[in-house]
Amino acid sequence: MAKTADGPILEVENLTKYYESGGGLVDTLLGRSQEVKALDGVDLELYPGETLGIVGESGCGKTTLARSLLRLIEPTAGTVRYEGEDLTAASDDRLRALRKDIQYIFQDPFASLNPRLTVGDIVGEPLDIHDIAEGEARADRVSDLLETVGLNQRHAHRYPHEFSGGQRQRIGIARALAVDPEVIVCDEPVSALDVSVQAQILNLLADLQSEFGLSYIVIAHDLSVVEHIADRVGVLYLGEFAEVGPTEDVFQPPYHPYAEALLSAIPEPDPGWEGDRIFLSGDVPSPLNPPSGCRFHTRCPKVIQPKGTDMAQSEWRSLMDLKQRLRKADSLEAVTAVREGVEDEDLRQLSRSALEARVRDEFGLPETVGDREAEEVFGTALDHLYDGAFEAARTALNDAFESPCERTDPELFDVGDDHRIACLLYDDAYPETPTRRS
Amino acid sequence: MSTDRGRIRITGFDADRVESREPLSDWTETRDTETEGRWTRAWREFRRNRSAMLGLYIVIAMSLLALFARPITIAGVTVQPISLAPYDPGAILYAQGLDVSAYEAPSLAHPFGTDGSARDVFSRVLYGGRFSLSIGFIVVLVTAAIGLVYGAVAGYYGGRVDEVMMRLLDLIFAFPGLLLALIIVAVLGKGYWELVLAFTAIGWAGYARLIRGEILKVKENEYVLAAKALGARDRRVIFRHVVPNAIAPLIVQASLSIGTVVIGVAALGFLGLGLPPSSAEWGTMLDQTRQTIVQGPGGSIPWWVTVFPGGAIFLFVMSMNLIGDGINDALDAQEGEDVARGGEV
Ligand code: SF4
Repeated sequence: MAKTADGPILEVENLTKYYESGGGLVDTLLGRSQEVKALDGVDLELYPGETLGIVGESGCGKTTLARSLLRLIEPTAGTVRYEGEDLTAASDDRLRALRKDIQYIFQDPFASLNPRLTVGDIVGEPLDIHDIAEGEARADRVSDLLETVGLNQRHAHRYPHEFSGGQRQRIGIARALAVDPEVIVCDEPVSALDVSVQAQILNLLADLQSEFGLSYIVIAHDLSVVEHIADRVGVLYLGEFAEVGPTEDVFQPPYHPYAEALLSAIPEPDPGWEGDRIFLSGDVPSPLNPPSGCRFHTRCPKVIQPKGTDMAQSEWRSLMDLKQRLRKADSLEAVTAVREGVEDEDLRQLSRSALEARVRDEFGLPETVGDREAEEVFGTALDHLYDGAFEAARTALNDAFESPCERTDPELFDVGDDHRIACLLYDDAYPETPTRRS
Repeated sequence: MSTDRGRIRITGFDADRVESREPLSDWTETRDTETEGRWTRAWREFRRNRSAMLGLYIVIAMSLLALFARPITIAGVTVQPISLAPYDPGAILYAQGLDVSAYEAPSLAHPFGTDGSARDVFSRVLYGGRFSLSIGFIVVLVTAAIGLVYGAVAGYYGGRVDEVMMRLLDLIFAFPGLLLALIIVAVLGKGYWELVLAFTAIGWAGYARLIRGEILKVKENEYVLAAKALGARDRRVIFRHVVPNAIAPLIVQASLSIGTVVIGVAALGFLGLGLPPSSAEWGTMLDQTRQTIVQGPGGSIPWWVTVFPGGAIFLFVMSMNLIGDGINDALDAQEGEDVARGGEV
């Protein structure tokens, strides 16, 4: 379903959620607590009848986003407008009433159903809460709902533990449908299910959408799920959108480097397919202290080289990795490759050239780096390392290898119709970045 | 060869209408017996437990005996006319012109003998159950209810509310329980309701702490969040979703502590701080006759005046503990069953 002429049914602006961490009373008093930036200024719109997919690795803020949308978690800042009404400013009573319009489907169909209630009571609960139906009418409505999601009305007297995962997820869907909502936020609706059941649940969601004219926000870590269900996709990285656009556009170039890496990881059933899987270096950084500039720069394979530098992109990436690793480490172990079967070796005993070989080995650097200046800096840094002067090595690397990506936080640049990417590569200020060469 | 994605489609994902929705694969008619509720299941489990059932029978028997020991009149109307006890528990028999002296050994006429005031011990033990048992049940009911609400509120809201409420609990825990009860009775004076109050005051804190801990665990479950997402009020979330899933340990604890309360009441009675001296409460009866344990009149020891009330306390407390263990096992087994059947509840 494409965008309709109507305005968005749900409009989110600058939604932000910071958690206090290390937060005892004493820590707060001493100013020791830190903020975890789970969600940092997210904007999105949802149009009536469409499905917006949101993807990202675990820990990127997906669930926080989904829950802050409904104020199941209080957002730190930002607004969520449903048909023009600001949810974040609504009173408790108003918010409860609004829950009839915006519903939520949980990831884990085992944890999200109260084991002490029968299926009939679980599905009927929203009817009780909002005084929608009582007695006979309630029982009828519950049977209707169960039939709608493909269960049998006879199941109303059973307990959740008597059902399989897929069936339970159907119960969860029936519960969400009971209030006749307009918008349903689905938090990883199928990730806890067997692959064979996933398709059934996704199809059910699609059916219900056309039957009841629902709008969905579907959160997933699995791009193939989103590809098949979403009209538009937002790719979330460390609490910010990296790329937003219609599904076909996001799944085709131009890509955000992060989206490209995610896409390359989708298994392809075609044996004749030769696309390469892009491996991202490092882990997802902690949102406690997100990287400066572009949050993806610590892992980005296309991280931009500074003006005047010219070397193979993989070498540049390796040098960036070395620099980042050194920032956190004060030992040679952290920056050298491990030798198989050798334990407790004293790296300080290595000769200068042996050390150099080990470092090159760890970061996949060739004998000599393509750029002569860079090679010199690398040599200097190694000298310092050999002398045990970590601070000096750090400074040498920091001064010479600084990507613009570390300094500038890219906004979402328009790259097509309604397709936006938060990457400096798509900023007109960097028209001919050396990266394009690779 | 190509690097285009999607030349082969996974057909399962084609979002055509699915005509035959999931055939509910593991659903066989053999499982189509009527679903059992949680308590039905627990009761079935409990009934299999012989010692617990023995305890239950004893407690029921003792309660019935106490109930039917003497007629009960409420506001002049006799609601329970049956009188199992042969004599009035307070009556001094020789004063009524009967041929009975103090410390008569058990005989057919007085199966438990008579005490130092020539009262019929059998009648007194039967009747005395009314005090001990009713105090036990009332105190546990009231304390568990208070503790449940208190702990539920503290645990559910957490944060500062929890902090303040828990400090108050610490205050109560700072006193040794029985000592606090003793002080309260000493201040308020002797009497039935004074005893209830004293034991309630010290008893609820344990339940509150227990249920708070459970609720801290249970409230993290997603179904609690799900109820909030549906728009449920806090009261509904707490008492429909959180408490029913946290209450099992409370029930076990309550059934086990009925015995403790009865012993506590008897202990106060024995210390002379229970009910008025002449009342037939078991502990007080022991107190009245404790000199006789050492040496009775005429050099003989009238064991019956202590053994029978003491035995009654012992029997009741032991039975209550058997029941408590039985409940514990029944509810535990049930949790296990859930896991086995549900996979990962
Ligand atoms: S801005 Fe730089 S680091 Fe961020 S995605 Fe683009 S190229 Fe990579």
